[in-house]
Amino acid sequence: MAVKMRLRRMGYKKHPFYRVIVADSRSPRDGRFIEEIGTYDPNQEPNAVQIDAEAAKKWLANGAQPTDTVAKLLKQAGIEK
Amino acid sequence: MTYYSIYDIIQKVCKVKILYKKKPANKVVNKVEKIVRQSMLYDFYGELLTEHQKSIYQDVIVNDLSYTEIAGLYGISRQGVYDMIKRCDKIMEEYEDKLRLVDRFLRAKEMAGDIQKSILKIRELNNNSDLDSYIKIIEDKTSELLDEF
Repeated sequence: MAVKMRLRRMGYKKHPFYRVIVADSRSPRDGRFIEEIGTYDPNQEPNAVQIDAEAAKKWLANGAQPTDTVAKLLKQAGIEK
Repeated sequence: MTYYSIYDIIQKVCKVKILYKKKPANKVVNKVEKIVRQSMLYDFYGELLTEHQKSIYQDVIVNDLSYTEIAGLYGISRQGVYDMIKRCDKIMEEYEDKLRLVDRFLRAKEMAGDIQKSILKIRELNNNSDLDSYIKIIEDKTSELLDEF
């Protein structure tokens, strides 16, 4: 099963807020996810990135594919494979 | 022998100064900032897109799907998705250029934040309980004002 790490937008209109989730790549739109590993809140100054480094590393090691945006956030958070 | 570049020689011979054309700085697009920007644009101008455009654009900003994934879902080419997103970005940025709704909202939000901070300070320093209700009004009206956008 291919697994992806992606952002999912939450928050209300004009106040975007994102969760970093791990989800099955085959059902990208049904809202289900396997695990939530962090959040990203651009409304705060400075932007608040919170990622569970251990979980992220575990998923990366298991072959989860981050999207470009999540890869960028992981880099910002200092998480490498 | 000193090495002269072709530019140095031309400058010497022609007695002109060549202004080196500055290399355009590699435009670094921060994907995260981009998705936030796209989300804001969509919140303000999304209704001006067609249903088809809206649905594809939402997949990008809400579900963070890649162009390849969207292409698969809609049965169009990856290039088609790329062009579509690009076009939507352009349409909405043009509205933003003219209307400045996002820009004004963000500035208002910043100012509202400053007001909130001052309110907190006033609360801290205030020992006159008669003022509490007025402080509350300022606080409520500030967030109401922001909702007007």
